[in-house]
Amino acid sequence: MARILIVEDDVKTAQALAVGLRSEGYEVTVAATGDEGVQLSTAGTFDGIVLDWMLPGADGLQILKHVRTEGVRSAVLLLTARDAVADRVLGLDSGADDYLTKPFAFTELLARLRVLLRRSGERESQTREIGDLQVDLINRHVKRADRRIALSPREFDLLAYLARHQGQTVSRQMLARDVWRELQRATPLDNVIDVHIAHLRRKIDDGFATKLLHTVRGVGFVLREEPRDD
Amino acid sequence: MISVWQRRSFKVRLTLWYAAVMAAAIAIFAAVAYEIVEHRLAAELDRQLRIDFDLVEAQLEKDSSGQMRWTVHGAHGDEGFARLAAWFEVWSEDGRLLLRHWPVPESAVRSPLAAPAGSALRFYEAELESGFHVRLMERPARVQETGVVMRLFRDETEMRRTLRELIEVFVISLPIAVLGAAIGGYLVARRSLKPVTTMAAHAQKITSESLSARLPNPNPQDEFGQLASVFNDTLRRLESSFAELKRFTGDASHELRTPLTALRTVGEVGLRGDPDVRALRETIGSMLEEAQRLDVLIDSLLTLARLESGEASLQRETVAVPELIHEVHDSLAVLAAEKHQRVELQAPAGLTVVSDRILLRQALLNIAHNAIRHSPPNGEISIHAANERGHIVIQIADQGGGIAPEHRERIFERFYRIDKARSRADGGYGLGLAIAKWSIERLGGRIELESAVGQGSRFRVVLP
Repeated sequence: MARILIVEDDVKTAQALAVGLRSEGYEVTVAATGDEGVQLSTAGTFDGIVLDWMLPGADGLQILKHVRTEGVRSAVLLLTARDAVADRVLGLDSGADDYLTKPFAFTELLARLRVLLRRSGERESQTREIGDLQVDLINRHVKRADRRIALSPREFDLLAYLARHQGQTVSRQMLARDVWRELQRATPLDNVIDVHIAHLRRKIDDGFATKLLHTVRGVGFVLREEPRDD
Repeated sequence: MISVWQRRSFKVRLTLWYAAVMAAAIAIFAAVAYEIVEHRLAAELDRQLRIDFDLVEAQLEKDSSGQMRWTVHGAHGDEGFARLAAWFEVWSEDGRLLLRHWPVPESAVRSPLAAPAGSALRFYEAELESGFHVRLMERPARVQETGVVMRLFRDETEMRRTLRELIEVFVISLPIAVLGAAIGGYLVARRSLKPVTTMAAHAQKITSESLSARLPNPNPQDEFGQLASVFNDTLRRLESSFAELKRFTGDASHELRTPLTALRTVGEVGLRGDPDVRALRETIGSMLEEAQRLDVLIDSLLTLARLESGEASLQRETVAVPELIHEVHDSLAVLAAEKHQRVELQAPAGLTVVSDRILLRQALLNIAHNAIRHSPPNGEISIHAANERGHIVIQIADQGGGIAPEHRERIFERFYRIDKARSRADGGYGLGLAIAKWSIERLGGRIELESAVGQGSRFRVVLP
């Protein structure tokens, strides 16, 4: 299983991330200071590093530069409370592979890590199946129990995104950014997303005993066959 | 204190300048006056020398022995006067003294003058003894066929005394005049700078607590009045932005505390007793919702802060307006459809504007969202774009309840909500229109609002 190093000085956040990532099957090590982070990361045995920008001791960018000059190839996900575009560019230029603004949803961190750690040989298949639901990503067809379901383009994009992340909860923020391509968080899209989800749910779940599209309260939405154990 | 020192120094500088200009003016005047007087007096002496010449020449004779002789004929009357006034020498053309008539003893003169240098008419001055100056005229003449050169004298003492007195008058009066000018200048400077002193004293008392105070401005027309007006205007703006900042701080802390309070209460209540897993899920989910509310709220505030500080950089590009409007509509259509509202779009094909696409889109989304939210079910919303006299104007009109005049001014303020309870349940923070307003202003445009209670509202986005 993939080995992850978390460099984060806030104990609560670090612990929560560690527990969350372990429950997802990752092997996790936590460094609480920049200097500790430098020592551990240069050992080079981690597949991914979750790196906080603002750290006591050496800060995230310094660690990043050090790690890259040492030739360490670990994928780096930079966490920061700054989200000005200039900072984002600076972070990526320093060698980060991706960038996540605090506060973030844990589901999003998981999704990003999965993308970063995905082996290059892994190819995306054309069709996703969730129970008896089939989503053809190339031809944009949706079938459930062998019956075609007509979706609007936006509804299809939404379903496709959920299907790609099947089994994983996606937040409204991820949907706004990745499906609606909306970069500004202050834009009022939450209601819009909720209405589209309601439409989609009606089309794919109505009349079926097993519900596939679930709302995870306070987190987001998930497409999965197993009903929650509640 | 610096301000006092500078004020003093300014007065002193003004005074010094004044005195210096005055001194220069008087000096030039004195020099010119002296030149004129001196020239006039010298000319007067020359005139008298010519008269003397005529008198004397007419009365010169050669006696039988060839001696030159000066006879005063009775025809001219006062013999004594003519004798006394006339002071001359007659020289032969080859430089011999033929006749000398001096009213002062010759022995008193230490340096008898040399023979005339030439036979041309000339006027000049000479110092016969220390402090005794005379003016001389040499002129050729003929006495009974004999060519001679006559030299006539006039005492310059009187003229020189007059000139000396003139200089004395100048020397005494110049410092007095300059001193007077300096004192006058100082008084004038002090008097004309008094409004500044008063203003400074008043301004000093103004603090953030008393921004409602204004400078007294008895004469708004003059320069200081204009200064006071400008200052008062600045104060007025400062006062209103202070008031807005205060209100904002209060509102923001209230808005931030509301989700925080919910978080704590839900968390605490959720832990009471012995909750089962399902109840805990509910509790945590509810807490996460509040956390997200906080997140969105802080993001909105940051967006606003960046817009207001001008920190957000603009990326201007040519934006196709019809496409943009359709995009806005596509994003929000589903909300309108939920309420069975009709959205009417109208924009001439090919209408473009150079602007920051993201900011403009965000502003339009916020206004349109607001329109959908405040329109009744089955209502109609229109989004029209047009080129009005070179300005791109995008109008978003709804058939909502309209906005009463007392709210119209404040609707764009942060956290301002007409119906607070309803908006919050809706998920609104009262920031959408504020973000729209700042976005459009950042783009150099403005938002106009036309509204009447019961007849809906029309937001006009006017782009430069």
